[in-house]
Amino acid sequence: MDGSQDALVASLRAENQELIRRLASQDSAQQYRSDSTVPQAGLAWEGCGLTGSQVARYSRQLVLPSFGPQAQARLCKGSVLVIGAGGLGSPAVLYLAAGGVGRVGIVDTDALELSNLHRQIAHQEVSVGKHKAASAAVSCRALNSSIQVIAHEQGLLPGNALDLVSAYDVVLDCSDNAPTRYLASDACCIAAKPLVSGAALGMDGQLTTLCVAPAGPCYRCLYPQAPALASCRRCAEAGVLGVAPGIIGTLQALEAIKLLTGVGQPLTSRLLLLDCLSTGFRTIKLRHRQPACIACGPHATITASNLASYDYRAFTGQPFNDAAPPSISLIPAAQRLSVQDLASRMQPASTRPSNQLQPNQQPAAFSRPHVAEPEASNDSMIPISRLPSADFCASGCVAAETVPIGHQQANSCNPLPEGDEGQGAKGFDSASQPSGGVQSSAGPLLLDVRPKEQFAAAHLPGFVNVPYQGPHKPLPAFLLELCHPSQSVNQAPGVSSVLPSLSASEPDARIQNLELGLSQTPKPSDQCEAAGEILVVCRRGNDSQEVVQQLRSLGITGAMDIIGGLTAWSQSVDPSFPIY
Amino acid sequence: MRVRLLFFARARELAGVGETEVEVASHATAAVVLKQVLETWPALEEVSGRCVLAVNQEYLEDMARILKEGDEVAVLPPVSGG
Repeated sequence: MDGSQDALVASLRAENQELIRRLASQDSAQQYRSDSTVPQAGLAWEGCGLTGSQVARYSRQLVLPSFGPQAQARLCKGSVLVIGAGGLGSPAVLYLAAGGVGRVGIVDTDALELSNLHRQIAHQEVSVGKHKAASAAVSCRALNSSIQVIAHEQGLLPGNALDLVSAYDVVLDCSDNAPTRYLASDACCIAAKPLVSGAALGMDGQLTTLCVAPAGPCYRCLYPQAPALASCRRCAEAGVLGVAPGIIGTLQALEAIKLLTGVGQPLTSRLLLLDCLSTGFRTIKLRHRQPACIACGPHATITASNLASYDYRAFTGQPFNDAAPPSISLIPAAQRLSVQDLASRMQPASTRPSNQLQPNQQPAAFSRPHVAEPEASNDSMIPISRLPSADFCASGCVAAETVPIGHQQANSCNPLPEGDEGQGAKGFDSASQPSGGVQSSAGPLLLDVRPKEQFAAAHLPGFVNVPYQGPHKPLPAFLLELCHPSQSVNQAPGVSSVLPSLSASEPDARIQNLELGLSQTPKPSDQCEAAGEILVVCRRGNDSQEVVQQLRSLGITGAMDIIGGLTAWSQSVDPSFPIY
Repeated sequence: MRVRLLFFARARELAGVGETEVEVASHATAAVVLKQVLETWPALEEVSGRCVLAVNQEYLEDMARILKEGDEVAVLPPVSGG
């Protein structure tokens, strides 16, 4: 079965599942929505305004002494706007729908991605590629067809925010970006709606309830200055444990239920902090509403009449989404290579017909390390001599990942065995038994500057992982050693274990230069020239440009950026390399 | 005297530590302690003025507040992920 048939079958299977789900949803809706009768006083039975099916459905919480039927009735008449149907919004909307909130609005503009599903549990696989607001609404309706669920797919914008929040009783901020957080807060200040603000990233979560009259602060009371761009880490970059937003989003639903029913005490003027690593919660007592606040103070300058024209992008320096940062063009085109160029350099010279690969040809299968994670190192200054040791790679992949120069590149250039499984492993194995053909000259030094976790998940064979720490952190010492080898390099234990195996079959000029460092310090210019070609790759081709710029500023003129990084590699060369 | 420092979220990333203790002058104000914190961890400049500060789990309103031995100072930048 070829690829197109596979795709057709997958498509038909997904469509079939969707139709089955819709049918089941309609059946259940007919079954559970039919009872809309309210008991007539003096006839069959009397109650607090709930229908018979509502009493049955919500019985477990309306028999709860601290909640009861009156609170349930308020919930059923209440409405909640949930801004964001992601990691926070998913559990929130499900619990609100399940708990019987009469009207749930779901705001989101994004389309669902596969990488969302580990935490955004209101969606299903079949919805990948579809609008999240609509997808979450389908799940809510499937859970409870007796409530009203509205998908607002246009998102929360300055032009519609006031109308949207005004149409609901309580608002949940489950968004993923700073502009939306300020906009939601400003709109809630103007509309006098309580705002339950949740946030989660990595292993951390935060929760507070804002804009509660008369003294509850708003988001600007707490953070009058927008966070720096670098502080706004995205889940896609910083990572997030799925449960972290799950817990905070669930607590947001709890807050909404309390606000709607009057049960309990909302988290006003308090900030709850969640630390998933220790499963610890802390509560910080916050300040009250600030008289000088431009959104909720007595002399607020953000008002109903000008909210729509407030420039939240300018205020925060960020867009209304957490999309990947745009591609930058930092260095001249002459210092950049395409992924096809990279592919051709990774092929054996004898089988290098052109720069364009055939569709089924994989010049270098990505590697899937099956080994334990190396110990993290806090030392950003890692001498080259330590690279071949276990600092960056566990033992199972030392050869391919950590021999920094020349020879492992020869392995990447080896003709690959047929079939794509095991190519990476073959590449690793062959590092210790280099074959002929391409060893006569050292290949380029291949640097992968992504964080070590991303490198460990998938990387191209032959690449050395040198995580880029940002423009303000020094480059790892071993790169500087290419220009200025020092005595200390040669005294470190790693070199001795690597050099013999390399120099036994083929001395590499750059390693010889390191050896030279034992007895003399060569001129930096010689060293820079000897550094040869250095190809730098990252996830999308932005960080790699910064690294190339830094290397070239040190005189390493062979440093070249791979345009578009591994994302472009996956799109143009090897679709099996995962985009994440 | 010693005060306890708690760095959360981005502040923890920038400082490279979540909890620590620092020696500060007796009767130091919160402003003095925070200046010392920025000198020790210059990377925290990124969140300076853009986060909630708390002493003993209460919002720090007054930077002239005099801290005492064993006080717990928390640096809480906003988290925007969701």
